[in-house]
Amino acid sequence: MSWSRRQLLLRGAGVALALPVLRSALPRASWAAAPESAGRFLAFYVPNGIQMPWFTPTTEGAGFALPDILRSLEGIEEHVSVLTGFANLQAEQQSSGDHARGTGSFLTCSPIRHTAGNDIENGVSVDQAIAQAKGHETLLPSLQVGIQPGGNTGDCTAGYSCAYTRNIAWASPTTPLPNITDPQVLFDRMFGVDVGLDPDKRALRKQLRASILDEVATEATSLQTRLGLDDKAKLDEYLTAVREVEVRVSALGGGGCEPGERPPSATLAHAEHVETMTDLMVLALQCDLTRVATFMLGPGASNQTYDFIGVPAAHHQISHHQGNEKNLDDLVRIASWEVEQYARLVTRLAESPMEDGSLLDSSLVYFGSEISDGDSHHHRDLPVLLAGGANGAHLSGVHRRFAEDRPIAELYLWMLHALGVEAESFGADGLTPLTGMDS
Amino acid sequence: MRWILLFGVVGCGGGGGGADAGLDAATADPGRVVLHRLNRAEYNNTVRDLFGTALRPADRFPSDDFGLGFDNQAHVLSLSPLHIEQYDQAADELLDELFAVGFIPTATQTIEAEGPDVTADNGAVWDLTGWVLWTEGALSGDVWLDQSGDYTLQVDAYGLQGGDEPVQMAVIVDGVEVDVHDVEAEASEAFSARLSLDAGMHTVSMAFLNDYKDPALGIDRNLVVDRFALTGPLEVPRTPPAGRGLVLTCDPAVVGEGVCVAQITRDFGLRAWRRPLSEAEVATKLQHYTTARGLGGDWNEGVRAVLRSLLLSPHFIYRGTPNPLVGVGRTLNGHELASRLSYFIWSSTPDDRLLQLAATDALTDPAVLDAEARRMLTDPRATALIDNLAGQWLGIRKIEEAQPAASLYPEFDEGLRASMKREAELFVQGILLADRSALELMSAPETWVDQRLAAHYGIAVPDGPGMHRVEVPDRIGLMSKSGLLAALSYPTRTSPVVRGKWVLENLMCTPPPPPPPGVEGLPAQQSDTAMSLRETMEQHRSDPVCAACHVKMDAAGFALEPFDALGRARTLDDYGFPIDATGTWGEGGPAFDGPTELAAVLVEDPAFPTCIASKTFTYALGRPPTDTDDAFLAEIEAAFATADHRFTDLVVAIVQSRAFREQGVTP
Repeated sequence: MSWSRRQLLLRGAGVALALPVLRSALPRASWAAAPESAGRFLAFYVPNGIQMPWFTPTTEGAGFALPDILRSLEGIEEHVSVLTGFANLQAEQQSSGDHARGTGSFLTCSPIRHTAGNDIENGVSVDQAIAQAKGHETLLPSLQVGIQPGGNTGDCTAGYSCAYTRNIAWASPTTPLPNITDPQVLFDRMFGVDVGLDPDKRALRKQLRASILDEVATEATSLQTRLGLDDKAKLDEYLTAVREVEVRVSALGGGGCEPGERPPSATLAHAEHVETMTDLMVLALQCDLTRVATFMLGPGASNQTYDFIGVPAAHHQISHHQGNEKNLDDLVRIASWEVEQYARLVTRLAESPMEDGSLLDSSLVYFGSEISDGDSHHHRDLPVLLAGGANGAHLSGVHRRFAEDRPIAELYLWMLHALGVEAESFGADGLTPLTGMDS
Repeated sequence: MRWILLFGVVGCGGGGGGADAGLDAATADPGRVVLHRLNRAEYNNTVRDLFGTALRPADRFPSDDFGLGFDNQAHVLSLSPLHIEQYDQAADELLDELFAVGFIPTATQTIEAEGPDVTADNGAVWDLTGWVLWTEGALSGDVWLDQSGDYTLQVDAYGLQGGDEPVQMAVIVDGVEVDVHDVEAEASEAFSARLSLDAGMHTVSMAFLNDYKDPALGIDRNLVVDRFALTGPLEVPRTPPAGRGLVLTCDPAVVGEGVCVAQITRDFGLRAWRRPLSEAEVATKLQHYTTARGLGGDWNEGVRAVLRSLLLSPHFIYRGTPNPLVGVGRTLNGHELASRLSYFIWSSTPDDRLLQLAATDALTDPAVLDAEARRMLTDPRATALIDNLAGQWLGIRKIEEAQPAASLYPEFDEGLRASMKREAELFVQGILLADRSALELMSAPETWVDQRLAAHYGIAVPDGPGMHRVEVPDRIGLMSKSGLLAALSYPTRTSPVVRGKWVLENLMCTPPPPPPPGVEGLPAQQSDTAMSLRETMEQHRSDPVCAACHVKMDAAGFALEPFDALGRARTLDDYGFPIDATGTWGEGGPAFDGPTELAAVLVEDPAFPTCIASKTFTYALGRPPTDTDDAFLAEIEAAFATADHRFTDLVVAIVQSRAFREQGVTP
């Protein structure tokens, strides 16, 4: 059955983001006018690992048969590569806390500091390395999107701060960037809140906003001079934040994308929530509001239940499968659903036309998890999917097997180069970028 | 890693605690709290009190960083660019309401066709996300609207097409047909209508009109409904908040525009920054007014700009006491003390009375401080202690996170969850904010049930709506509360380890260290014969390395096994074996059998009142107690004990402590 383009868009609509957004938000010329060499990066993180026996294709190269977990890649095989053999040894230690270490270093490949207090320390994540080099070219340097905000009861794992399991984007070794989990908040971040005002008022507010931000920053600076070190550090956070927003505010009002209807702030079921947030991320890329985004389907060690696909137990709980067949079966089901969400996002990017080709052709869309086997908290043989052409730097549709325990930081180093970011190394063990990824 | 090496040597848990006779509360360093960002609850309460608004803008802020069991720890709370944007947006929302600009926000209620809140004449769940109507008939759901007004009704539906006509659907509200649609799409399409509806209950139906089958040709026409949603009330103009007069404290037409904006700046500044502004600060803020007027804005826009700048300032966002660069510690001044007091007891900004007392430094007088603390504890705002302190420490917020598997526990729904949460809140409030010993948290015989919860417990159902105070046999204390028990279980079964660990962490303040790597999860069933949960976990007791920490944790957990994963009483565990709820509290300690006896043993443990004091101290100050606080804690615990462990007296003892009233130099 062939689907009209409109029908495909309709099928993809989430509940909160009712149709009008997609119809009227067909992107304008703005992003087609972006520089030819502009590259996009999107990291799609899923928690608690993937069962590799049902993920890894049995053959290498092109034309591999799709294993169980990858079934939903049917129809888009040419766009997605499977990369196996990577390890993140920075997360491996002989003590508890694998989810904190794995998720914390998922995009940083740095060893994290074992603390539950305020002296957290990590590295800079690969998406932020790109954002810091290229983010000034778009309205939003980057977007961090998630589903669970993270409860505020109970602890996070094994004496590690919750910051490590709840965030994958780190702007500096001490600054995790929190996720936006509310569709309405994400929409407002993308299109600004003055969207509904008349132009005169909008202009007035914009100027006032800029001058107010400037003034409060001065206030903070003068307050800082009278403070001790730790208070100074707190105000440093404030100042950095205000300065970044100031830059954004001065740029706001550009872009040619029609935002469409603002989604209501309703509580969504898990599946709809994921759909809505991924739709908004695609919209952000289509409108060239940003070229760097990360998505967390859940926090590290997430205990999301998957009743709607017949798995009532908590994800983290059954990821400790102990070899039990029922648990493994449930885990494969969850993983298949996760890949399906990724496939949906990749499909939408593949169908977003640009001057020659699609949005996907200039992107790298990376799917991964902090571990492979959840029972042993294995930081090797990590599950990796990579979609998108990166403007010719990446030939997709292939299963590439890398030498055992190849540092995943070297995949990230290659990604930086592919997207035009100069770097000699990445993380603690990313020294030699991958080669041959374009053929 | 450290924990492994020290495992067998140090043993389990055991916090610093205990008085150190060498330190004197009169001379010990009172410690320091770093600049303290308002958390979400505090932000919401603060704007509620500043503006008299019902808006809760902080509900959309990023989750607060969480440390030591609380989301109000000064050194852990961080601030990102997202926060600044959200503060800006929150200011907009509050000011829109203040100046009655625009419309009130709409709310959407969505009913999923495959969910539990609908009835249908025929059909079945289709494709996991919808409901198919095989033949003519309707799918209906009820929605309660709080307000009258205009609403948008959106129905998402599609057809399984066949034959000459497209699928036809009628949308019916309260028995009256609103629309008839041709549903041509084969994937979910939206159909919207705008309706005028009164407050109250409404029934929305989607009817399939033109069933058609031709089995010979394999044709079967059906309607699939995905969901429907009501959004509104639409375009209802805002009305200013109750506290409008608190903010706009003068009329520009009477005293002059310039004079008025200056007065508003001083008045609102004092309340928002929790201290009076200096003349230089007032002048800086008034510049925004001047700028706005210069750009062509009217008086409202000018005032708006000033108020916004006050709300975005670090002086609003951070409470707390900037620490001197050099020199010795100091006593907090009246305003700083007022702020600490109100955020401790109310999670909100100081009220006018506190600000007045602060202005004269009267608050630094211990008698005045005592009286104010007691006054504040009787104020309705003191329920913030239940929402925030007890909410986190005693697990009430955890009830929001319970996820019992629908397939195994179909009787659990949001209604039951709400009743469970209310039960826990009323129970804790009835002890902490009343004239009773806080130790009764462990041993009080009463609880609170509505009709739903009474049925859940299998006791006589009370007359009438709302929560009623009852005594349920064999359910005493906090550990028997159904909501907490459900929150401390897995979706598919109970977990003695989760429950036991919680008891140790939160009621005894002796958290067990993390498990050694590789032992998470139950071992695979080894033998041919199935085992009870207790037998399966036997290794915890037989292996001395495990036993060091598990001996108390498991004992407490198994004593609670007579409550299932929804907190109902039972005699068989989740594997079908009779429950053995016996145990002792530590090697050679007092024995118990079941939850009631466990509570009777724990209430005697001196670790319990020490833990109550320590947790409350951590929450009150926004920092954990360090070794140098031992002297203060000893003093506080002594006062607590003398007062028969009344919680209100604990609060006063903490507030009177030098650790609360002073700021030291050591970080």
